Amino acid sequence: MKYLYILLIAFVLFSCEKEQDLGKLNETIYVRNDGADMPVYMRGNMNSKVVVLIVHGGPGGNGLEYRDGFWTVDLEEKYAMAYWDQRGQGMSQGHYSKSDVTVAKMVEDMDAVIEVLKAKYGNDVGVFALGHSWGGTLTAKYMTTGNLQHNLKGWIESNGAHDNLKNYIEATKMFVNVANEQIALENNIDNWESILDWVTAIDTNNITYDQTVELNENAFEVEDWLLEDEVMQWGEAGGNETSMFHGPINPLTSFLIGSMTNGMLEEEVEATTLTNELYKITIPVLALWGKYDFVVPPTLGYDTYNNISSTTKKLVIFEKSGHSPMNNEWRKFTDEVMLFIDANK
Amino acid sequence: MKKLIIILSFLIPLGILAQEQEKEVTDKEFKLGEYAPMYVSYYGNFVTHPGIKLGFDWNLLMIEKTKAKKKRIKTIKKILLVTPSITYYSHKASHKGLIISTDLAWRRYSEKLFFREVSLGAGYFRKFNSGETWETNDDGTVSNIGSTSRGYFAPSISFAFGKRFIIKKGMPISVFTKLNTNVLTGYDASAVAELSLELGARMTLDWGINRGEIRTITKSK
Repeated sequence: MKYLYILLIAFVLFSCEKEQDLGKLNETIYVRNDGADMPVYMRGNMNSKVVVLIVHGGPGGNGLEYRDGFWTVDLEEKYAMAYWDQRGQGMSQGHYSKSDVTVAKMVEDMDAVIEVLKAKYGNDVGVFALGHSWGGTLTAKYMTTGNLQHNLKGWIESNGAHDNLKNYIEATKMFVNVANEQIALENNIDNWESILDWVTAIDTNNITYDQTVELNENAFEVEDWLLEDEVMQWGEAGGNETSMFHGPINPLTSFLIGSMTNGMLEEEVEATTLTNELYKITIPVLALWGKYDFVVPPTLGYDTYNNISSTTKKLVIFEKSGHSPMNNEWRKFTDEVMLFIDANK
Repeated sequence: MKKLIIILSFLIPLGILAQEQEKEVTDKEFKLGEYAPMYVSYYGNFVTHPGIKLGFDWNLLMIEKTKAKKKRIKTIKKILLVTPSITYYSHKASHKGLIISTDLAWRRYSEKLFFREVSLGAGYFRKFNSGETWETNDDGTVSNIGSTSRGYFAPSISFAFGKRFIIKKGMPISVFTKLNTNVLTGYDASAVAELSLELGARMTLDWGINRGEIRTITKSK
């Protein structure tokens, strides 16, 4: 038994890793910061000396869920992509207390990831952060903390919830406007009328926790109706895929630990309002939003565009998209990202 | 490695079944042997991340109940045992896992030597991160610290069922499947549960760890 144990330990420790082709990167590295070991799944072309750091949504998502689909195919061909599992999410592991589950600590983590990317692949590597949804909150916090933004070549905010108080108020208004618009178009009339009844009963000066949960749930449900009526565009199947059973993510672990981390962060995230700090941002920014995003309404995209101090900035509203334009209008989304990176790398 | 584990996991039980059919075993003899039964199984973390588990049974107590039915006598056996084990699995591009654990199990054999088992375990679960790890230093710089891992106390609950065969007198073999849930405590800022499935074979050989006599309680109705 003793020899078997020694043999197994030796196998684990001395397993050989294949040498990487930088043009077709496919490796996992871990970043250890303050008790958390966070995997970063590297894919794509590191010869470009450009890394797109994917800051996933949730809280409770994982980096590689953003790899699925067509939108990352051309990006991986052209640049390196870093799919990072944040603290307490995806396949991250570690030992730390609940007091270490804060937005500020995750900003530190994000900075550590960027430092590691530069240390490992060279200081001449330019890093662009692409934050979606909750990842938009986290990247906005990163951008407005000290001088951290200067570690990046650019910030891509896609449907980012950088101001949750404003978020719910704007979502309420948007439900009313779109419901009236769709009823006038005779689309899903019964459903939209029930939405109208529900949303007009919400007091926007005093939105309760239960109502925020309903707003979020209904935001995803109405996307289905808009897809049925071809107001929004269906995503295409295919492209990059991460296998549920053979890929690096264990969906059960990711779901369980992500849900717990979401619960720990919820109060802080709900109270996060960064609109008044966006003026601190001076580096190039690309804001990408779906017109029918009820989760994080496009008003917040205008918010970013109008409040940042960057001279290089662009806002793109995707006319047939919801909360995830990289799925609904992937071609246009990818083209906008590549245009932005090529202009600012 | 993966292929070998899969092939072994399926061939061992299939081979045993094949032999069993050839010999048309009817022997229902049930004796706890002199030596501790040993087992080997395919261990699939989340079913599909392959690994291997090795262990042995340390029987503590057997209760043999005999019931007289109208036309026959029915005997069921229940065994209380502990099962120390070591497990290794590989989750590609994520981590490798090593688990050292001991379960306290309650196993019930039917008349036809089918068995089911429930067990509670306590173990040490270590996850070895894939690839290299980079760590932040106090001065804000980062450095490559090579391979890293973290360990967790991991209690578990498992359910198993299987069948025991007598192929060679005195050397019973069982095939079984087992569903495990390990709870990794102190994982991140809370805890996390992991599921795994085993397919394995248990053998009592004519060598190994000498267990000696097992206390047996006999009850009749």
